[in-house]
Amino acid sequence: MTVNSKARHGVSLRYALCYIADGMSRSESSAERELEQLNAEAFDAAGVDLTQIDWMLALSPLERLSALYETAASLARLMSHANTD
Amino acid sequence: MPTPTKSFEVIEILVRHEVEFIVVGMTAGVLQGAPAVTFDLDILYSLSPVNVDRLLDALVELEAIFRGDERRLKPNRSHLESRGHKLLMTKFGIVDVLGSLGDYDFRDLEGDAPALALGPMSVRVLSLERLIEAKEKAGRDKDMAVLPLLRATLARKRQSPKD
Repeated sequence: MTVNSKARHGVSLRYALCYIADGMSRSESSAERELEQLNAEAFDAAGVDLTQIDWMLALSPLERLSALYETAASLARLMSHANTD
Repeated sequence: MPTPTKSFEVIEILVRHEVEFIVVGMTAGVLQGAPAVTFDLDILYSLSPVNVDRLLDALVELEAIFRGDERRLKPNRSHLESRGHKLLMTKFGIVDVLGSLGDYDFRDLEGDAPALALGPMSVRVLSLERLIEAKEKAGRDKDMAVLPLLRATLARKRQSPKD
């Protein structure tokens, strides 16, 4: 490989890297926009997560009570571990 | 260290003893779809003499004592005849037994407490509308903190009623 061809190779490599980086940042910003849109639909104006409400509403009252107990039991286990540290 | 209350087991015993009661507090919210966590069960009971007797029997089976009382005082008929809050510890966890909720008693609220199917049982649960109203009236920080969640749950339920 000559000096010129090395230089040309270097330029094209830099160009390729810039292109990839540009593509990534465009893809990241598009992902961010998508996340923003998803979050806008997920939360109400008071910041309440509506997806959790939908999940609970899909359950029967007995299943909700069970979910409450399991969640609280799990939190209690976590708290007991936290206290031993 | 709080341990979660086994609300189903407590309710089962209350139902078996034919106690007239309404599930209130955040468990009422959860039963109607609010994604919240609470470690206790609050019930509002009828102050009629026959119901007080039934509740007393149920509390004996639940091995209820007043929380934080070094004497391990058991609730008696006189306690249950009062409108005050009885803060109890049972063999299934924390149960608050209320003779009144704010200015209201069982008779005032039973019309706003539709029966929900809880497995084989049918249990009166304070409606989300009334629960929100009670929390608004109580106005304490802990009540205000859950209002956005309860209001959003009510709005969501109205969009897609299921229960």
